[in-house]
Amino acid sequence: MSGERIIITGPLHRSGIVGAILAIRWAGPGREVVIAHDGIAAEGTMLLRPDHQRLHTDIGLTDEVILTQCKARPQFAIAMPMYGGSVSLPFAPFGVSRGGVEFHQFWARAASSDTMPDLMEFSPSIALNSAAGEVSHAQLAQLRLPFGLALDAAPYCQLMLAMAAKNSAQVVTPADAAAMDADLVIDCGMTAGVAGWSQHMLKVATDCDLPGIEWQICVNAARRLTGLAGVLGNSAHEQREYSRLALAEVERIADMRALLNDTDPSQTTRTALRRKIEVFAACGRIPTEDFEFFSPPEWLGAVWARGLRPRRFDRIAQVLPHDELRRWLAAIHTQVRQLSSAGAPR
Amino acid sequence: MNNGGQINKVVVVGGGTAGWMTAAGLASMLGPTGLEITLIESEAIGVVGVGEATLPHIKLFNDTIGIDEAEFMAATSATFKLGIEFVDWGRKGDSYIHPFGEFGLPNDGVAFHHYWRSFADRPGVGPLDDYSLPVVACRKGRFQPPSNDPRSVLSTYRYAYQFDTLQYAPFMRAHAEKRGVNRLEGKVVDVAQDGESGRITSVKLDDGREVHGDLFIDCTGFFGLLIEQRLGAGYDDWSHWLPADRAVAVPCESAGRLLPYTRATAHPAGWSWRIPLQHRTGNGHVYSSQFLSDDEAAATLLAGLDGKPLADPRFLKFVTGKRRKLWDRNVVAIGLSGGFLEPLESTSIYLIQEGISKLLELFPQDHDCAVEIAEYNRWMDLQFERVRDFLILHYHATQRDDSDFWNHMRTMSIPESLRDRIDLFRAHGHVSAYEHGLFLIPSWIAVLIGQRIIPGAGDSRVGRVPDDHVLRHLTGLKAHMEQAAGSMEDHAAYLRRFTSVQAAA
Repeated sequence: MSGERIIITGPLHRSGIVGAILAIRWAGPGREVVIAHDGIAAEGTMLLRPDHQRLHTDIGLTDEVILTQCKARPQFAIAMPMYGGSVSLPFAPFGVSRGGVEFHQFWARAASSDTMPDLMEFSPSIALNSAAGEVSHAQLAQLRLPFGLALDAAPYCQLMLAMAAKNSAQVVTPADAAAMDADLVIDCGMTAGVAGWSQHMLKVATDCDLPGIEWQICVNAARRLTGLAGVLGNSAHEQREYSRLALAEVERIADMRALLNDTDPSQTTRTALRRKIEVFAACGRIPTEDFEFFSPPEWLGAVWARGLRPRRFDRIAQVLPHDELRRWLAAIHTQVRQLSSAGAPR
Repeated sequence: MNNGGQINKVVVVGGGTAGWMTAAGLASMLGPTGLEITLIESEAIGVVGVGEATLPHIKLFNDTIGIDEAEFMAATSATFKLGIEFVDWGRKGDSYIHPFGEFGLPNDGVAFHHYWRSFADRPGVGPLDDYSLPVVACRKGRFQPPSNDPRSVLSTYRYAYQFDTLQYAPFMRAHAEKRGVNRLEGKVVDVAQDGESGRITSVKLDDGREVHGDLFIDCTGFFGLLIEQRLGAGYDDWSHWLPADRAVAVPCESAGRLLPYTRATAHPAGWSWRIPLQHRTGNGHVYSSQFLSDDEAAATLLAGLDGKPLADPRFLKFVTGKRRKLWDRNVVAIGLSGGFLEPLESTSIYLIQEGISKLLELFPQDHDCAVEIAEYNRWMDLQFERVRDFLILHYHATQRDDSDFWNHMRTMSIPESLRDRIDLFRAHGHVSAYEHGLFLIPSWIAVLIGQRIIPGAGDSRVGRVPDDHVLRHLTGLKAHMEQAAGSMEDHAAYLRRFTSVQAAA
């Protein structure tokens, strides 16, 4: 073998995504991408987080192709299983922030003296997700809210595989791949083990039990690698950096998993999660780490769903006169309710 | 202190840049909520007056608290700033600019500096500086505010200010007093604490007045009257990494063109700053007393002035580092009382601003605020540590071997966080990323490459684009930068026009 070769193994819905990104962003003269998926075709629905827009633009896939070929439907929030039930985590902020202060601080102030509709009723994302109508592509552009996609997995995976092949990736059987040399093997398998890059093996995280994270984990892994793997040989420092970032991602996902599923998340021993919970309980803010996997509205939705409430609201929320605050909240509530009837009939 | 333990009265001890910025920030954001703010300062106590040069973040602070830019610039004799020039740092004779903007544009998913690295030795490609609009504008002495059109190359930078810090504090004072801050003239002679909690309850002034408060902001400078002298919060001494412990400052008459950047020139045992203002030039020499005497430092500074000195040299002593707890009980240390990182990258005012912003975010309702205190300290520690690493890089990444000082700096051990970052870049030109810190990837690239840490190998994906395409792109981009910078107005002319138009208005 002359040049460098990356072989990607694992199920089609993972290796196809990673392979497409690498074929477009890494492969070239002297650099070869080989996809050796295990032949297990993805079925059912696949969930893509809002990052899909950036990725698809980056690799040259248009919305029209995704919408038509994969029967994609916008998802403004994502349903997550939770201890004792489930929760819908919105991609867009609740209400509207004001003067640099998040909306829920104003809501909390109003709720401290008046009966208020639940905070969830101020989420445009949640309202749209449960809207009676289908939101059209034109409406999506007008709404300017982040949205994910729910799409048919099989055509999407085939589309990604075709994108990879179109950009010179080879698609081979695992048996054929076993006979090939590789500078790097990317294991996208469900039992790959701890995420990270060590010497000739890169493992994509396997704990993908939360809805919608599997696609993003694969995308992030491929992006991280293309950002660091200009050269595969003699890459000890890049491997270390990759693993640092991958591990941080695993930790942030584990934080969300613990928040949603632990019997009592306030007793967690996870440092960053504990900080999130404690600061939120104290003052309603949610501190972030470098490169969070989940967005601030998702964290807020999750802590709220677990019954955590701030002891106080932000002092800056007091600036607004009480009557003005009430009118403003009522107007937002009305607007959000109207979103529930957005779109054409399904 | 009120009986219910509610935080309704803030006492800022110390004026100066930190004190008045804090008072103005709190008054603007929390004054309308009924927060009472008192600032105590004594005209008998001088101000250190650091922070003449700033970073672009200050514009956000000014905008947030409602400061009019033209009024501010006129009142503080300010000039615009597009970056910092570093002279003689990597080697004697070197010069590079750390700009407030990016270098080139990524292509095909590969960062621009990889293309530059692969073609740097080709004829006509030139230094990386040539591919940053703010750098080219600095070299030409040009300035205009960035364009709002994201498609324009004129939108690819930000700007900051260089101002007279002795005029800045009075300007912020006027702004703060208009928003209800109560100023007390006096010197704090005693501090009273609650016996049980250890919280400060009041301070006593030299005329016998007692000033009670719920939350105290210590802006008393290096002395740390409340945070250290009374609460003993402790200090993390970083002088083993940043051994400069003295500065001598002197203003001089302006000479030559009014440049839109600060200059930092390396010397045998430290470095000197040059900050052009409307009415004068600020100068200073930061040095290590282990390697240079005060007299030698002053002589070096005076020998390098552009114009006639306007005052006698003024000496400062400091220990680089930060307070172990920037918020302890009911005292928050902001400014020099919280820590000092030498002014090499104009970070002093940024750290003040960050302290104020974080305090506003976490502003406590009452004294049951251990969580807020912990979060504030964690955040500020991170900010200080990341700035610290960036500053150490300037000293450590050098090939200078012409003095004991540089031999020490070049060979000393450095924080592991910085070591990893340098190793990663040195290998193939990748920059370890973070989100929560002042200096992001373009800044690291500017200084790493500016100080001759050139990656051993480039990103081989550069080879996906044919050589002649890359060279054409580089030539075109360079010409575009040159043209765009050339279309900008002379900095001094722009400044005159800006201030006169605003004054007329």
